[in-house]
Amino acid sequence: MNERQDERWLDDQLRRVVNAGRPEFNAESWKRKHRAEYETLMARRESSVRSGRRLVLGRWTVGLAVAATIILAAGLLFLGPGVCEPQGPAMPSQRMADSTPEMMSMKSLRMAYERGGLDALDRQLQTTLDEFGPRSLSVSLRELF
Amino acid sequence: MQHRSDKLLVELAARGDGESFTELCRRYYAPMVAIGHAILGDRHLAEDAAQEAFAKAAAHLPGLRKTDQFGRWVAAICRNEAKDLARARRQPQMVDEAATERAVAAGRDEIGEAMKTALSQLAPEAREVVFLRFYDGLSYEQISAVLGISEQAINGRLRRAKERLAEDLRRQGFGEVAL
Repeated sequence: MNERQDERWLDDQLRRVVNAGRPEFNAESWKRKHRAEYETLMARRESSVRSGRRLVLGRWTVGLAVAATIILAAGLLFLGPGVCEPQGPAMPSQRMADSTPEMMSMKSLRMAYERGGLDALDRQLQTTLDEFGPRSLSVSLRELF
Repeated sequence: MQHRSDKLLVELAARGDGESFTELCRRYYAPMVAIGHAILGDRHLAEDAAQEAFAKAAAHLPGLRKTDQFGRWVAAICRNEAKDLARARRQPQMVDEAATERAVAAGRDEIGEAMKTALSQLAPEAREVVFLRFYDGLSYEQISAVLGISEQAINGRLRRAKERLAEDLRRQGFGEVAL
């Protein structure tokens, strides 16, 4: 036999020895046998609907926050050069306030700008937005404005 | 029916879509049984291992970060399940008992027996790729999704496994086999 014939022979033998027929997955039988795991999986459907509602609400709140931030930043920049000139050399990034509402305030944005110029203001805004992401539900609109 | 990607099915299943999870199970059942069979040498035990693997996958699906690598992930679970079953069984065999019985009933199958012995001598990774390829003619693409290696790498691994098998068969007296 040549090499090609040998390989074909070997493949045939392997098929004969290894191949035990195509196994078919019986979903109903599996669900009955592993009811707890399947129900755990299905239970996530309801919780994902709830989290979807939260996500929509969260997006609406974040949208409002972004709009407010843009208005605040624009106001700060157009107040006049004398008021908002940064004083001294730029300082490393630092959070100007602890809570998200405080971070949103004109005061903290202005402090950031005065310490580090536009870069610091940009970082402050980014930090604020980062803070809003996962915690948007914990901040009420009253706290924001 | 439109073919939906593993990634989409995993994401839907993780949100509680049972049908999507069932589709994933159907898609990967044969490769999982092949992996289990390569370790356990028993079709029925291999099916048990595959089903247990899917049960664990259902319980831990939201923890899967690389949602496009479901096949590789469930294969790792299945290997562990099969090894646990093999340890519990204590006498792992590399051949299908029912198939052996059929062969014996039909008369002595020397080549088959020699092949089973040769298969049992292979390294686990090599035996696994042989089972995946010859169990039900799984495509290289399907094997790649399960092993997480390229089709070229699968080809190389399969080639080396067959050379090893041929060498073993020659040692057992089948001198004409040369790859």
